[in-house]
Amino acid sequence: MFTEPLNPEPWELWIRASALHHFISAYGQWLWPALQSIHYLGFSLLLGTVGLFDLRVLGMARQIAPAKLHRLIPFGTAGFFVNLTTGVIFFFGFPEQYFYNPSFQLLVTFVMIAGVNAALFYVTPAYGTSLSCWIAVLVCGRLITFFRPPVLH
Amino acid sequence: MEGFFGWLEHTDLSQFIRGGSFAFPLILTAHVLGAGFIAGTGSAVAFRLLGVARGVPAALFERFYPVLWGVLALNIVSGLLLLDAYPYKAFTNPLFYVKLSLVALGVYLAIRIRDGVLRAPVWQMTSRHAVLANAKILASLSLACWAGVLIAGRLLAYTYKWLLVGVPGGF
Repeated sequence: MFTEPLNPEPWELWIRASALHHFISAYGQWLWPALQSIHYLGFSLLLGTVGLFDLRVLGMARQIAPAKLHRLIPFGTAGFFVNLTTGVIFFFGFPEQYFYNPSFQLLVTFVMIAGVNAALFYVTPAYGTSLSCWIAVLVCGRLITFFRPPVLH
Repeated sequence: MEGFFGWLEHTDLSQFIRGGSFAFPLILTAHVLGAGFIAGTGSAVAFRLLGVARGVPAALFERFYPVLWGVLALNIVSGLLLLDAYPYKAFTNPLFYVKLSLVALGVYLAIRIRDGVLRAPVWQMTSRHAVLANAKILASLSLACWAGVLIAGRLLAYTYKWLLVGVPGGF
């Protein structure tokens, strides 16, 4: 559970006035489930490529050359951007439901750690950070709904 | 069957998972995480067969099958627990049967890919083309199947007619 300000902040009013917000409100009944499904495909793509690469780096399937397996990474990157896009749309749909939600705040934190880690991987690999972070992102994402006020479940 | 589901919903375990504790969110989260790994690993194998990361011998992708089987076992357990919490909700939703069928098909395709492609003796050059063509068909089917599992699974939350015996869903 979380608290939000009694009166919406200017940024929230700006989002609520946007065309995207109105579009989601108008077509949410089918758009929301459709985008949620795409969001699931996105993280699965990430886990199946970056996740398997991480498992290889951690010592699984040692016969595979990591550099060759790295060719799968662009699919994971694509999955990430699919989820960033659908995620932004979710945020525009119910901004206060995400912004003040501790599970969402943690999710954003882990995405940023994973991003910095991915950038630094080619300099100083921190073994296990990537996999742990992406798992944490998924856990936080799935738990967002359980931190919402019960009325809006 | 309503009687059976009604009885199941009143068992201690079912009530515990449904109750206000963190049991349901955590089991659900584990289930979704597992689904992501199963579908993702299956898709990675399919990408290889469709021509991505050719530098990795296809046969070596069998080394990732333990992820598939291990997580599948965990997801059967978490799935049964979720089913125990809301049996009527699942069994009265036609999409639930679609999802289960797609999971079964995905597992069948994963076995077919392992036995018919990853373990295919590549030195038998006469059959090489047949193996490769077969591999691409199996890979495409597998990709579509895992995507279908995730989509059907996600949509269960938006399509159920009943939450519990006698308690309609909100749709």
